[in-house]
Amino acid sequence: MFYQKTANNSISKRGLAVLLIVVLMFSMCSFFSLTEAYGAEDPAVTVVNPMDGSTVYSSSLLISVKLTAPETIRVNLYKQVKNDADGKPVPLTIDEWNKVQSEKTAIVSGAAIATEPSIQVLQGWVMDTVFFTSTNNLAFFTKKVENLSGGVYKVKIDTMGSGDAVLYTTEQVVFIKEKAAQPVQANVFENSQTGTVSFLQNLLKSIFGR
Amino acid sequence: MKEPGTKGTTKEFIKSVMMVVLFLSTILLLYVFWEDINPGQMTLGELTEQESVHPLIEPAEVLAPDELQLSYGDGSYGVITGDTRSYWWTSQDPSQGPTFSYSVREFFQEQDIFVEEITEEQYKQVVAMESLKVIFDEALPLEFLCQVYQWECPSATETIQQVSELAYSFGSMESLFVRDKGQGKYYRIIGNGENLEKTPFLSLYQRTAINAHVAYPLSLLMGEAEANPVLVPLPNEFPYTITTYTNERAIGGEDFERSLAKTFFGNTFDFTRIIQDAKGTNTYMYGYGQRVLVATKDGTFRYQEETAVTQDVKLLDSLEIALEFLSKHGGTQGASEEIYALHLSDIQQQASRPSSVRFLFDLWEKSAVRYEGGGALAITVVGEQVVEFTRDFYIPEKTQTQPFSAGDYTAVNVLATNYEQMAAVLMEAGFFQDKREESLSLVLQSIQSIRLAETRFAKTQEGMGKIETCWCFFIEEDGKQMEFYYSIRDALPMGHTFR
Repeated sequence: MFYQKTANNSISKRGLAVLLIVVLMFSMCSFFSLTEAYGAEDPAVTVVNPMDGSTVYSSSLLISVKLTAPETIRVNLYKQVKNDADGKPVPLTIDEWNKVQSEKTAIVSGAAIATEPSIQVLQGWVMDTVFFTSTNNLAFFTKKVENLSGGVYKVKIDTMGSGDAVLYTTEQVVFIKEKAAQPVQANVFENSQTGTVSFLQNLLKSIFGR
Repeated sequence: MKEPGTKGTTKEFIKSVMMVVLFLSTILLLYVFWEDINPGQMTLGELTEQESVHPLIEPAEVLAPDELQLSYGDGSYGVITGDTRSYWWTSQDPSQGPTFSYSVREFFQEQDIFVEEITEEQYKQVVAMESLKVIFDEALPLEFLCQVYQWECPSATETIQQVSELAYSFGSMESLFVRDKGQGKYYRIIGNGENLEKTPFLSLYQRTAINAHVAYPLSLLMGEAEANPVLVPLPNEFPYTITTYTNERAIGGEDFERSLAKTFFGNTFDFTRIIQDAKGTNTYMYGYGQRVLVATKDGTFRYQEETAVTQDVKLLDSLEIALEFLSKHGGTQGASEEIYALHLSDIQQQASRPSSVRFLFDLWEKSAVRYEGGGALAITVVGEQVVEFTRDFYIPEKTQTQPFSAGDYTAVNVLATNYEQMAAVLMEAGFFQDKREESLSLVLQSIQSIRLAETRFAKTQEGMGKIETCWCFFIEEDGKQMEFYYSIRDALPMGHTFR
């Protein structure tokens, strides 16, 4: 009986310790995760566009979300900002965003001493929140957001439950750059025939038929 | 003092005048009696005119692309699917800015133009840059376009057979690009110019961009690997129109029918038999059926005549013959006096001798009004002779127009809601034989265009119905073509038709 009690105590202590570690790790992961998800992602929600981590060379952004179940989603687009020395919100640069992500990774892996990133990232308002309800097993939410300036943006999709309850949250990050910053494409007709060759070829064709 | 006999001469003169007046009156009354004319409605014009001839329509007036696409070079696009005509061609000097055909004419005035075939990939890359593209659902021979719009096409362009798409890209400003969909070939027509300030395409691009609907490729919106790159309009707001219509016979009555019939039979009208049946169909027949006109209760007029000995003509000549025939047989003036514009929607050429071409026309009111099942006008020309003529004009009664926001019923959601119904109809019609993919993939692969279109839906036996703005999906697979119509208000199916 005693033995049993001791064994039970030792099992419960060990179990509690494991549980605490699991809870601690889970909460740390939740807090510092790269996607900064507030909850699990909805398996019925797929962000078709933009692709997570993609770069768009345009002042407009297409948001396209695929729903494979009848449900209601709440769609938001935020610009990632920080407060400057005067406390005014300024856009986060792509380099700053990358730095924050590296710091978060280091914190999670235990490589860094700091407990939080050097820049506090805030969510800047871009557009009014949009609700979309699907009544079918296949539906698409599409919206073009215009007049965007360069920076880091986050598309956030909440799956709504009854009332204002959020069941799932899906997020994607996209980098917006000016169209002029687009890498110069290689000449499409680089390997085409030279004008003279084509001209002669056409001339011969016109003389001798096709 | 009067000369002797003067009084008698005056009397004789008056008698002579009276005789002439009586003689002319006799002729006139005989004519009225013979032609069965109501004297109260008689005008001098009718007495002098043998057959009413309406203004002749030029081939350039009936051609217009079915879609105009802009690429903004950043992955976003613009489309114009309604009034493409004002960007394509104008009979006057392009005072509001150059049109596409005018810009092409300017391009062809350059010297040393040569042509090279390019790959599909090169074509896609160059039109993905800032560009302007016109799409013809019915491919047209380049030679035909050159003749119609007086483009000085050099002999080098003879390699290009048909034009399904014609594009100008600011990524290659010295070139024009052609897609021949039937042959699966792509061409680059290279000129001398490479001056952004001088090309008329620049102001056309700017003018078009203002009025174009936002559009994205289907693949980007749906994310399906199989989805094709057809552009889907995403308009915030657009005019939604619903019109009830009746037909020419219901409005114009027997007078309209007889006057139209007379244009076909001319002097032989008095020798034409008129057979009326219980359903309200009137058949006008000359001889043993050499020439027959059937006027049905629903307002359709169908004329046929026996083929005489005739000779081969070119496509443009066939079209001119068809349009000339139209001008002599009712023109484009409806029974309620309104004058319609035409849009050539289909050309069916038969490889035979003499040449045989069937032209199908839609009516044009700000945009082409598509017909569910057929067209407004069909003219078949064999050699130099018109052998078939079908006229089915609608007469609008009550029209309501209001600005409309697509809301949740975007084209993509209409597709997501109805792809199974679409696939079922297509399979029943013989599409997708021996294909094992899922319905969604099959439908997505075969979509050729998605447009907002004014559609005249099938009429009742009395010839009445509605014309409504709807989503129109054009499907093509192995040469078979079908069009589906869906409500923009509730995404429900409204009909479908073979094209």
